[in-house]
Amino acid sequence: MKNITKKIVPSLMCSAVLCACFFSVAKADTTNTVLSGLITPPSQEANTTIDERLAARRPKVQLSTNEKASIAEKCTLAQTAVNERRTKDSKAAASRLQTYNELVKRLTFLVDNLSAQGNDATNLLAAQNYFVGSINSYLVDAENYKTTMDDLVNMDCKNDPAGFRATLTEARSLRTKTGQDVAVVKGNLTTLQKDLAAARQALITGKKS
Amino acid sequence: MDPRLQPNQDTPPVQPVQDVKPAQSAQAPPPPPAPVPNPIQAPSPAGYEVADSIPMAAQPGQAQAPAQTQEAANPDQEPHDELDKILQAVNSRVQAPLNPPKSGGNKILSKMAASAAKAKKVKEPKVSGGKPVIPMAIVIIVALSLSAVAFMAYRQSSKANILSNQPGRVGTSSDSADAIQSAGGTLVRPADLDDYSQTLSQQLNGLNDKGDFDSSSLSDAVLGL
Repeated sequence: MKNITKKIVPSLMCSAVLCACFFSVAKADTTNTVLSGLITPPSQEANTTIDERLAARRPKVQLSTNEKASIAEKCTLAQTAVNERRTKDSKAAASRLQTYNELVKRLTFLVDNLSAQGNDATNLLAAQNYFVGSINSYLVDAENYKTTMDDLVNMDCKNDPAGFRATLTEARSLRTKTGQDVAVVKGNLTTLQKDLAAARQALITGKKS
Repeated sequence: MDPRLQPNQDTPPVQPVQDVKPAQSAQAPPPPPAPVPNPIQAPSPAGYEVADSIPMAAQPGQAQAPAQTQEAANPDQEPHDELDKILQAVNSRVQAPLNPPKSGGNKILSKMAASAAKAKKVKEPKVSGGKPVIPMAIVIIVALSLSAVAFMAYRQSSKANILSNQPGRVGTSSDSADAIQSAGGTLVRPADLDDYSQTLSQQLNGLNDKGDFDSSSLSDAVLGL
């Protein structure tokens, strides 16, 4: 009897674990399975080398001898500061991406269900598409900004002050551009709220397409 | 009691009973064997046990006198001796199962006993080490049933997912709401839209756009250049 019990218990435990996995998948929130529509932009670091990127940026700046010497003298400390800024930017970018992702997924779920219910969701769908497009633009610029920040930290600034200056200039430009992108994303708020209110009114009155 | 009937490992092979000659031998005559009816001779006279025409007596002490008497009374005993020997041999063979000889013939019997024991072992069912078929079957059935229930629940949720992943589709059926609910999906209510509108505002306004993309963070003054 003991031998039989010893043989049965592991089998029962394995079957219970498998069933728990199945139930967890089955009970998963439906909204989590909705695709958000946000892209994953390709990274320049995967397609090009740092030397290639520096070679592409270097002609954009012209430095005098004194400037080169000054940069070579101070760039090491500057790289430390850039590294700290890069760490903070990475955390902020991750939090922002998660927020955007959840908002888009939930909006997609609402729009799809409204359409399935027979309600007119055309305006809300258009607002959703514009909202998603603006976020994707931010993601592309944010990825390029991350690449320049990585190059600033990893390059040999003492031997390539021109490249350091060119990369720093590009990083500043991309940082400004990403700031403009998130402003556009927030600018969709008004339009979305207006369309959501209209869809709500349509649900209350029972107006169907 | 006849010693041949007693179990004895070292019992010598049974020998046919020999003619008793009390006049020549000083030893006591051997105990008389069990009487075997001799179809040739007539029944023995009263008081004497005649076994195969050999003079036999009920008591060993009295064996000599009757043997002498018998021997004197039957002068022509030789023709019957051979027959008696044959009968004695037959008699000993009949008695062999009661007291089998241990040497020589024991080998055959021991082999037979060993083969019988082996056959018995083979026929005995194995008690330990057998597979518990019924408990394993129960476990398998329970696992399959639970898996089937989980799969049915997953299919229900996947049906709702298919419906929800069709953006911009305008429903044509008046029973679309019922279809969504039957497939496991949820209806969109006005409260859901209000809730999302508030969440959207809170989340977007909660992001630190200015702080995250402040242009002065990479200035020469901040970097020490």
